[in-house]
Amino acid sequence: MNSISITMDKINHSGKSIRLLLRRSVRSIRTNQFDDAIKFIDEVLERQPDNQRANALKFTAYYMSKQYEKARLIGSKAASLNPRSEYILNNHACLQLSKGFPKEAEELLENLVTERGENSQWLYNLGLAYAQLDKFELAIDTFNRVLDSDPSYYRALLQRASVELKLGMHESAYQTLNILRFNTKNQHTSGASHIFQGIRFNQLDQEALEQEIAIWGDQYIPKSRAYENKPIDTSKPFKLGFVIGAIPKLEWKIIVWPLINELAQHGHQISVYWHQSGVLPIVKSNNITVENCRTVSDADFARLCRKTENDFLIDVGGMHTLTRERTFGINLANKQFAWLTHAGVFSTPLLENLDSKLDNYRFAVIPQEQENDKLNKMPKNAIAAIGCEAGLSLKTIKTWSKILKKTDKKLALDVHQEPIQQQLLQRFALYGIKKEQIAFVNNIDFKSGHIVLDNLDYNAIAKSSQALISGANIVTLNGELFPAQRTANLLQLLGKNDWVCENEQDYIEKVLELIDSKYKNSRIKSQIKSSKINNVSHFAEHFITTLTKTV
Amino acid sequence: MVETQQQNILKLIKAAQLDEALVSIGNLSPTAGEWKYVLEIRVLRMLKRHSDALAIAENLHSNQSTPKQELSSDILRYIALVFNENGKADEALKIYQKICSEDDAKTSVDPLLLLEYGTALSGQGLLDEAEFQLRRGCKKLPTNADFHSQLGRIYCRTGRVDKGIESYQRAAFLEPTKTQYLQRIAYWSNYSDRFSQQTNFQLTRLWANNAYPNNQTGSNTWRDANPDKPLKIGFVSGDFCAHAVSFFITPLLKNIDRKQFQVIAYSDVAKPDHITKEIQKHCDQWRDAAGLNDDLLAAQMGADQLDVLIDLSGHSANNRLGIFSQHIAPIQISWLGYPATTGLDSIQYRITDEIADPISDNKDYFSEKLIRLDTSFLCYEPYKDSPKITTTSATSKSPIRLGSFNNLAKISATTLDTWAATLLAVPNSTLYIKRQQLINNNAKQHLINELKDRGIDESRLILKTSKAKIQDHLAEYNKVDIALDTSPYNGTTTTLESLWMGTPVITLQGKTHASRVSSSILHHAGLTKLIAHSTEEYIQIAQQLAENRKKLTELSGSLRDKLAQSNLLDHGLFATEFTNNIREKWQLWCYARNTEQGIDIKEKIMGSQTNIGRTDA
Repeated sequence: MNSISITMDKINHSGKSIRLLLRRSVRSIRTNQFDDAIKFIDEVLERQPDNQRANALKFTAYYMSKQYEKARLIGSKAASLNPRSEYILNNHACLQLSKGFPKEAEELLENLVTERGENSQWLYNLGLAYAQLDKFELAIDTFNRVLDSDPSYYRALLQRASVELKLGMHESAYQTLNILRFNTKNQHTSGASHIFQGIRFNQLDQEALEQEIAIWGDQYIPKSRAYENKPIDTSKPFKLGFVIGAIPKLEWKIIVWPLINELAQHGHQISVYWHQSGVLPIVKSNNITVENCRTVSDADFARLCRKTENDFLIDVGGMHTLTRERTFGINLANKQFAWLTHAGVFSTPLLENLDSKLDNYRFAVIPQEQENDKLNKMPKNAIAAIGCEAGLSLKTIKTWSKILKKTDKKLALDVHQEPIQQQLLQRFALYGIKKEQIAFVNNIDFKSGHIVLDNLDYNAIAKSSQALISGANIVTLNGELFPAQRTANLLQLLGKNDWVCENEQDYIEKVLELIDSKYKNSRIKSQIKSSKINNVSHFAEHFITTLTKTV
Repeated sequence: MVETQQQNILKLIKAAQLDEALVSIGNLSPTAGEWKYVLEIRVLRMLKRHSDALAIAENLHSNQSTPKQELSSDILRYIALVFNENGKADEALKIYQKICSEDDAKTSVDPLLLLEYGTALSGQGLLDEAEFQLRRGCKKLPTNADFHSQLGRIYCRTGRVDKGIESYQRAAFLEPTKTQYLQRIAYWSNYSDRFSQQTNFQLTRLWANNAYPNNQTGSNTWRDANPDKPLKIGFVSGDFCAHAVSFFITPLLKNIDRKQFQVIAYSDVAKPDHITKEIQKHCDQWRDAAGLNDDLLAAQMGADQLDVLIDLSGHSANNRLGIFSQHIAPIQISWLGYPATTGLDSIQYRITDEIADPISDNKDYFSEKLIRLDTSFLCYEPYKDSPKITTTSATSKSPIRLGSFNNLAKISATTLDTWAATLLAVPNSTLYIKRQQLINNNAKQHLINELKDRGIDESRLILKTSKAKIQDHLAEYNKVDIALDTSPYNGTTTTLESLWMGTPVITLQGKTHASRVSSSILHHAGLTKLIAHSTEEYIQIAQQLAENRKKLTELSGSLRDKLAQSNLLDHGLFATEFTNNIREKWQLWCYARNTEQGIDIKEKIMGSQTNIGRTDA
């Protein structure tokens, strides 16, 4: 009786046994006939929903036929019925990760690694899960476990660099990106990121930067120059393209976007090639079009730009993430310039420095729209530090620590990410600064007489401008690289040469003098309001005149 | 006609038909033009007929066949190249100077010519001028890896290690197949505080994977697996000469039990000296490996049927890790010359001690298993005619004289920070830095600037180049009251010399072997109070010594005796400990060989890490 019932159970109404159906489904998967396979498996599951093998095969069929969402939806059940299947556990974890369920992936992968031993791929995925769960230290440890056994696993290096940056471990990230270069030559973006981090965190001097950029250009810029220049008619409004990279939002908001609107009002046709995250800018002029290029390949981006036939293409991205510097090497417009956010050195002669052509008058700002941004009060007995969101180089920290040791003032840093805050506290502690002397305040409401220190390696010009407009006093140290000279340029334009220092000792003394109120300038607010830095319309004219002169 | 002839010869050269090319060149008319000589020198160099190439170059240069004034830059360049390769560097440099001196704006000098000039200057130790010429060339041709590697070498050797590593990294990126660049990065990363031990490990493993992808632990079962037989031990080094290695290898060789072990030295010394002869006296067999490539030397070693092969260089210059990657001997060991992993699976062991590499729950960043000796991993033989200790400042009220005679490359940012803070904490103290590299102005200026940046005025620094004679060098320690160690790469010989000369050494203990060597020395000498675990403690130790002159005098007077009585100078004990461990590893290998044919010895001993190095088993 027992054997009869088992036999009956194995045979469905069409007489096919479960074993036969499973065998057929395996055969179908092997021959990539996934729909057939799923049909056979479903017949099994209709009778035995918890059949271990059928669930495993269904996951496999979906996964192999790239129906990833379907695979993911049944993956948890398949995994629980097949807890020893490396294939299901790892691939389901990947699917969970890609859909933003890192917690589930973490569990699956931790089990897999514990039960089945270390495997580079599983560990790499586990590292990704930790990173998504903001378990940054664990993520770094896990990527290192991958690299200890397989030092050429370049994706682990890439991810480790990404996590190190999130933690504000810039020197480590810079080294990781450096090592990444020995493993693969097909990473122009990480190569650019390596250079950018080098600039931003004082890892490169001018000579090294020139070498790095030349090497990057040689490696990654296509050698052919396919686009022919056409004469620019200066009697008509221009066609202007602005490539907006991943620049600080404030720079976009109070410097670049106001200029674009002003130029559009003067009849120029503006194409904005948008690479920022978040929503596209709201356009109120027919003369402005915005193209979302964030996920567009370099080749498609080049086609898009060429199609527009811009007279001038202005790069406002430099070597930031999503840099398009490669494409400038094949000449996308009649004239190509880098403005505002570059390093002052370019990988192609087809890209020129617009800032140097603009002389000292390099930008104008509009006051921040306060209703959109919540401003916070400056802590009592504090001086402010700006441009610290991504962290600070040891050089900047060391210099600021020397100042802090000579005053009882607090230093209010504009950092809101917790890991970066922790990293900064640790770094200041290295130079004997206790955490009580450090405060973190985002979007400080600057007032007349506030003293503001700007990031020494990578000046935050938009914030500097904002602070100056509000009447704050800024002291800067004129650096070696272009990004470390921008605030100095701004102050010189305002006639505040006495706030520009040429060496560290002078800088420290000047800040301490300002703290003692000996040289505090309360008239800066009126000075800047009447200056051309505050006049976007005037700057737009200067901008166009400068471009015209280059033709 | 001439062009066709030239093209034909070039084709032959390209096809590596060098003898045929040489015949064709010989058939050319003497009036064929100077390109004839250029090609002839080129082919002779390729054929490694250096003396013939030199003869032609000398002939041309001495104006015998072609009027000298008519020689073009092209031919002069080849003459300079040949001169430089054949011991006539001075004359080569004169030629280079002439042909590279054109004003860049008027005549564009070939950047590759500047590379040759810079390399020749560097080879002569004229590093400032070499740096200038190489930077000049690199500006013109930044995509040439050789510029970056040459500059990297100069920067590192003149104390600018981070800048040097950056240059090597560019070279490694530009030419990833030249694995020596990656090896240089791994090597110099030991000197930099920007690299963790884990990163060093990963870089070294990456190098090993790229340079020797087939490297693995072999079994070498063709040896007689007799656990008690006398063993043939080979030592490989390029430093069997007046080099720090000699202070450590000589006492070991003198004390190895010859009934149990036979010693064969493979000396890769280009210019042997009196120390070479001294070391040779203590070896059973001596093989001159200089000039032998890896294959030839490996064949020699194979014929010698070594049981144990010991590397004394690691990733240092002129190392022979390529031979070790072939797993020449059943047991291969790394010792002494390098502070980190070799990255090779074929080197099973590394000799160290529990202070330099303490046992911890954390992962060891070594591809080798660590043999932790109960004694120090070092045994030192001081110079026999060492000068007397005449330190006087301890009894006077004169300012404290701090000092360091370490390699400039070891003076990292951490070291500079620590030294500057110490100088500030010990009023009126001076810092005496003595090193041959200070002959280069760029090295000197870098040091001055870095310390100035940290608030130390140049007037407090005494910067001198080294003394040629070892007695004079050692006597200089009498001008130092307290020696300051470097970190993360400690002094080794320098620390021992300093103690021997009665100068206490303060060290900042780190986590890596390189940053714990002085701790190991001080520990075994019974001087643990000189080991600091933080910068603050380092400064505090210096302050306390500076403030208590009586104590400093007593300490100074006791150091030589302490060292003499420590196991650092107990050569017999060290040799026994060293060889007992080798015997134990040999027995393990025999056990594996006899019980499980072909077993991976590493697998066999896996998990017995904490017992490794113990002689009580």
